Amino acid sequence: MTSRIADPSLWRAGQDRIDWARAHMPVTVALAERLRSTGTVAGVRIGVSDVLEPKTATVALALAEAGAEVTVTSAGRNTDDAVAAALAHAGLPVYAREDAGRAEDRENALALLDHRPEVIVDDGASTIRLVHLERPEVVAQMRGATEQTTSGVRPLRRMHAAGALRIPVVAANDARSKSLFDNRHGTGQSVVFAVADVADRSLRGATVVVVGYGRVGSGIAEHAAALGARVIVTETDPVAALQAAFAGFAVRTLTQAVAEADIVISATGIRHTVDVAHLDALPTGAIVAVGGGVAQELALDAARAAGAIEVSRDGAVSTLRMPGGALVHVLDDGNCLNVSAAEGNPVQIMDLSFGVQLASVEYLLTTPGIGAGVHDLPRAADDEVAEIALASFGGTVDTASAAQREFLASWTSEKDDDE
Amino acid sequence: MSSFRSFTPDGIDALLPVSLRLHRERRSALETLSYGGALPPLSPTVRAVLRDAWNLDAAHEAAGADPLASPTFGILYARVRSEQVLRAVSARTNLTLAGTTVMVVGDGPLTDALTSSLRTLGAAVVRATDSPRAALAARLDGLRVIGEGEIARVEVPVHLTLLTGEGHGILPLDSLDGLVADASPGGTVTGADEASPSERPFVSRAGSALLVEVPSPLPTGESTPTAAQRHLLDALIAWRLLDGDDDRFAREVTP
Repeated sequence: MTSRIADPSLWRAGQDRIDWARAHMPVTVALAERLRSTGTVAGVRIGVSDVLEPKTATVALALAEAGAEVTVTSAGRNTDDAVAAALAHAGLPVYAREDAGRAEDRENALALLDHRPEVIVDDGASTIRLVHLERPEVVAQMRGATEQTTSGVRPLRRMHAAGALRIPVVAANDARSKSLFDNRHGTGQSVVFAVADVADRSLRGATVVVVGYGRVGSGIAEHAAALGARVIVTETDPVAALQAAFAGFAVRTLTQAVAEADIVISATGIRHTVDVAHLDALPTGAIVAVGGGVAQELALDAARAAGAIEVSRDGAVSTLRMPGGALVHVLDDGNCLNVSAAEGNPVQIMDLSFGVQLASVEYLLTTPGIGAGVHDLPRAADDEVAEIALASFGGTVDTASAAQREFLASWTSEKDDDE
Repeated sequence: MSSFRSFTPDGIDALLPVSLRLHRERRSALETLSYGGALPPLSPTVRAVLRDAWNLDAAHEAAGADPLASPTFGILYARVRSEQVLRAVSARTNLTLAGTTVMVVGDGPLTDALTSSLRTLGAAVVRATDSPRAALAARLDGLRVIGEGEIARVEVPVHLTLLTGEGHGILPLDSLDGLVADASPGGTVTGADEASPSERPFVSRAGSALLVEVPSPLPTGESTPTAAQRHLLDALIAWRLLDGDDDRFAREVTP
């Protein structure tokens, strides 16, 4: 079996972590079992291009056990070598090494495409774009792809508008079972807890500034408050800012907020959100981090150009002396902290996202005549993912009565109200 | 943050800021600041550092005053300990807290602090207590309350059980399902010797329960003290140095 991984002997540790994740992924297990029993993916070549950690590995293994011919790749910065070894040990071709640079990452993705996948399960749409650009003959035989991130769906829609997208892609990212939980609850918990752990800092009584009150930011604010922080939200969208105020958080400009910040967490996904002037206005001892995130969301390159100097480094904590003299602790060089310095989002939250991915694969393979373009996952499939998860959390969903359904279907119901 | 992590006679001033301030007020010959109660003894290394740097001996003695009996120390302990426990559970399991049902066993300030944090981040809390007053308060706060005898019979799936050690005795692990964390001050309220290792570090199995190891609230081992342990150690020494002046103690430890 061809694979390009760091160290096959690490497989046992990786397998242990996959086993732990799998035991807490009821949706993925249930949907994979259906794919197996119906033979939907039997013999289908599926390429999984995703962060390579225990939860994604569970999906790859589940698809393989359901009969698919699964190949896996991941960018080096997102690769856990032990997990890669466990997948290779299970017989899957894996092209991923933690130490890989950009050039090897690209070679690894191309190696996955050499397996001529009929379906690509993607994260960030990088492999979907690569196959269109570099392997058009593979695209011609593809049945579709799924994409699970906002930042991946956006370029795919542009590709479609430009007439360049030649396959159907399910925007798994937009399914409610994914979008309403992954960012707020998953990233919210994992980022806040990672900040506290990496900085070894209690949040009790700390002033935490949350930059951006979208789905990620609202989850971060909520979890920081739960651990005893005083939260200040900064927002450029008035409606989102109002939502933050109605959730009980102080709402200020970032320029106002940084002066009293113990911790700043950026959650906008926009470059230079925390700019040099903001960093320079932080009090000595302040901590800055990014949750979700894009490169240079903290303007660290610009800060260095303006005279900021690293005075010490301890693990993932870099201490910079800002031009104004304050010492500021930057966590994991401003990278997406919950992925780069912790174990990523909680298992059951990722189970929802991967349940949506499997439902998307099933939809692609069982629905005839889906044209090239970006498609939503049908509501019924999205609902099924939520229903399985709800049961695992001990909840039971209700059903609408005949009278309710009749009311909802009618357009003459006003007269009934008057009787 | 290496300077904050070097728990040595030279580095201790930065680590225990409140104690340092109070200690400077009353420099004296070797002073024994004994404490008793459920909090565990400090590690020999930490005691040696305190002796070398400040001439203080913080000894755990059965007859010593119990810091948890101080209202101020209780407030601080409950909040710092609850954060420490939830962070340990999250980091050591990589499982979600939002959406889960968490049973919090006990009737004191840590029980309340855990309940408050968990509800804020989206967990459903079930309280288990035999204290009529704690049950009344919890019911009026909108919580489901069961007696300790009903813990094994609760019909909803409980994802996590937190044992605070407040007002309850040892719970046999075989009566529990799901994750279990012993958050009591000394980690003494589960029969941990019933457990065997799991595939996950810091998690062991006992029947259908998964016991998540919780760090000590004070530096008791040889590993570098964490922020939570330093915070509580600082408060412990400050409380002893202030010798019962609870209001001043509260002012000193308020951030």
